[in-house]
Amino acid sequence: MSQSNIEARMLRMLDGELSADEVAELDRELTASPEAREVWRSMAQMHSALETRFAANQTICGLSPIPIKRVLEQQQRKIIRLSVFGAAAALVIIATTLWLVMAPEPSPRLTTFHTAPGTEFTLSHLPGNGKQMGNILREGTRLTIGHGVAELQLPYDVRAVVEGPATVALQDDRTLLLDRGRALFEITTESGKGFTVITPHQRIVDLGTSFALNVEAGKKSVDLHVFTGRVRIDGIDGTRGQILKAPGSVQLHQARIGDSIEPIRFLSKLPEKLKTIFKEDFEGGLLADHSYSIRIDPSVVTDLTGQSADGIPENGTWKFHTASAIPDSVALRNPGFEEGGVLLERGRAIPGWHPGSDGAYGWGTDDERYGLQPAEGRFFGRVFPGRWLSQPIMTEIKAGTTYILTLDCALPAEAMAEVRLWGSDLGPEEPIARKTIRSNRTAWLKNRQLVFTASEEHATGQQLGVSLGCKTGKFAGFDRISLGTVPHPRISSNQVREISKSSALERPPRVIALLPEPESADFLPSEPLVIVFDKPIRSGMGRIVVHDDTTGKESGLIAGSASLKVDGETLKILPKLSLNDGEAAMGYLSGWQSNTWAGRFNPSGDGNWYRHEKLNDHARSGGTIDAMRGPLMATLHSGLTAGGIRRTISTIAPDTRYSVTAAIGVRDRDSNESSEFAGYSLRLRSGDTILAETVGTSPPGPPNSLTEVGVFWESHTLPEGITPGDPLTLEIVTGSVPNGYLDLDSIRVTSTVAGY
Amino acid sequence: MFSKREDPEKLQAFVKLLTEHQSNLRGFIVSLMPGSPDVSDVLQETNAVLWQKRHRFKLGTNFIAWSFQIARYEVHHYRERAQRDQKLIFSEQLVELLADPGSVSPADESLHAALDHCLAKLGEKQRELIVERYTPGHSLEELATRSERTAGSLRIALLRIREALRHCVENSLSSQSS
Repeated sequence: MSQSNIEARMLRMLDGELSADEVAELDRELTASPEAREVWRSMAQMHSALETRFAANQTICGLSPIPIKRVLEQQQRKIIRLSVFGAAAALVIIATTLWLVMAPEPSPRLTTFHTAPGTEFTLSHLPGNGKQMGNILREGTRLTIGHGVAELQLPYDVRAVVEGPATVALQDDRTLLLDRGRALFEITTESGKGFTVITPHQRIVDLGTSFALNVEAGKKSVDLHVFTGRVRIDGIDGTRGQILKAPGSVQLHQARIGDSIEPIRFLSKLPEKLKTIFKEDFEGGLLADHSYSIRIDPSVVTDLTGQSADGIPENGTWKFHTASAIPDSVALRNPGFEEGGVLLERGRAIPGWHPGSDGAYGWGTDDERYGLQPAEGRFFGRVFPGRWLSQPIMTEIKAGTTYILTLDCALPAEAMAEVRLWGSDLGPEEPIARKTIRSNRTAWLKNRQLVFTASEEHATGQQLGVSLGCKTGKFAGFDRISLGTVPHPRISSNQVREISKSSALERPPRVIALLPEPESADFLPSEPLVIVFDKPIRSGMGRIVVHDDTTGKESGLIAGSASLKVDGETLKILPKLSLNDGEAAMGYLSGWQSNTWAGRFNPSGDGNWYRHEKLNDHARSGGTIDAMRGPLMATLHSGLTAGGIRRTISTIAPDTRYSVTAAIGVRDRDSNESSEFAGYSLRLRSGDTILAETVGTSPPGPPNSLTEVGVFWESHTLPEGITPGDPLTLEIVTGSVPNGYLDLDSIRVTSTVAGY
Repeated sequence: MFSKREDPEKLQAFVKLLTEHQSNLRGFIVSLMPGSPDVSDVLQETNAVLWQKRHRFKLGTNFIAWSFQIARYEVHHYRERAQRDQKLIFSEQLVELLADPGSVSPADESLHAALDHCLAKLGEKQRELIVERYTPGHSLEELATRSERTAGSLRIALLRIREALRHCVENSLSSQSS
């Protein structure tokens, strides 16, 4: 190839215009010639400089399509401290805060949008659709609101107020796609007639009206409220459907009008402010069974007059050890079937293990007919279809205790085993937890676990029992059986000593209590570290260093950071938690009460929990996906009874609208840790009263994704017995699915004055 | 890890290096993943890693070599994704050869000054063509319609202009350095 041909080809390569064969040929030329590579480098430098130069002409009005989420992620990772990380990223942040100020005057044929301050949103474009221009929503542009509110002004006097979590996209100047979210539409003039909203299930055609939709991720029905005028509900394929006149509130199933529902209020204008009252990204906490020592600079807190409190020096006066999350072991009789037992006519009587209720005996065997050697020792327990081996255990079931049954299971191809935990009240026939284990090929499946957290209803004084059975196939084998228990991590506020109120104004604040107490050895890592002073304090300067003596790692927290919370006389410390890719820290969730097996994990892109291309596994704990705000997520284990996590986040204010969003994860089907999606309930409650709830039984998004779901509540009418000032509690509960999971992240709770 | 208070002077010097070499870094990434829309993302990731690892960089050592090495690593991860998506990419062998910084890259400031100088020398129509090609949201097809020429002929003209620009920039840089 001639020099000029090569150079022309290089330029076309930079433009992305070469075919596969041409790329291969250029590759060969460049590999063979150092001179050609020099030309290539020079060309690439110039090409890049031109791109930068002309992109810069546009950046003030042409927002770079770096998603806000990405910027937030970066902020979360504390990377963008300076504006050196690309003008584009910095401009996105500025554009978010100055969105209303910088917005150009809307043209009547353009769709523009504004967001309430504090709204987290992402803009994405169809490939080849160019750059975002200011606050104009172009055809094909997708606006995803993680949390918050946006107002859209569409052509032909159509206005929409969309509340997140929501995804909208402009199809054309008369058609809007609403994949999920709550939205109110107002069509004020005749010219807007025919405006259409397309949901995943139907098309809503305006016939001169105002109406609202609630489309929830993962649900097939859609709520439609018609406030004035009328709308037509067409099929998703465009077939004409029924007309609904105002006032009307109904549930839609595809194009069919279903049951009437209670009318609800929708925001009709942008709130002036969203007040964040709770935010949780599951990034902070301590690890179970680790030793820590804490060092505090003297000036981290001061009293209200500015006098610095004494610090805690490096020589380690505040050292402690956290409680273990490793289950206490419960003794089982003959857990590896090594006591082989006596061969009887209908089976083998195995010491410790009882036959099932049908009178059939179980088997202990070293039979190698299926190529399945015992996992350990000479024998394993073998059970034929429909038969059981059971063992009552002299352990009383306690509320709030998590029981973890771990075993190896041998299965010939296409066989299915079932393991059960049961209480002595109802016996093995009506278990309190169960799990099926299946295999497509003949194999020993190692370390299968059945996890169950007992609630009050199970704690009747009854004893626990274990059963091992075969559902289908030739047989099921069992070996290396163990049962562990973990106490339920409860938050106890009385662990902090009563504060002496005798404050001395003239001297600096003094520490009067520490949680955990120095040298304590069983601190539950579900609680934050607390320092109580003898007078009110405020944040000063300096830092707190949390040193993990077990690993040698340090976490430094700067005074004033979100990880340090000052409240009256107390300082709460929540150090950043670091987990390796694919690592889980189960047993505790800092700050949350739980009645299920819960913890945190760092999803890994190699298939451990998740396998998402956006997970950057080259950097330790660096991966994030979709709605994640940091490298860690929370996970809850589900059982036959629903369990969950709970924390009180505020008190109820009058006439306030509360919005709660949480990102729900759906694991890859091929993930090494996959199990069944358990479903979720997202609740606001006060005491025993549920104020508002969103329930989802289906995954809200596709595998490998996190999708925000939300629940809203207004305090303008209060349930009986509830008054302003009562506690407001957030609760997230799994569905009752044996051995299911609920992964979640990015919880946001905001409040706004309920103005309409 | 958080152990020592950062020396403000060192921090300032590091920030200066990082900002000075943004164009070099971007150009280097473009040379390894030409035609990709993900260049800005990879640059952003590279910047992030450089910032995280700033404590490991010793002032006075070769910032370009160090930053290119990190950028190379980030490009490697992009390539894994690109391969999965069956995008056209250079072979691993060529990327290794290209990743050797070789000759010293010009400082950003010099490169941009030379580019401005050379752009100013272009005729109005030539400059318009460059503007259309490199301004986001514009396309040669639109210009072809407006100027009643074919997109193909504009592409050929663009190739020639860029060739001329490159020679001009190289000459300008070499005369600056001499």
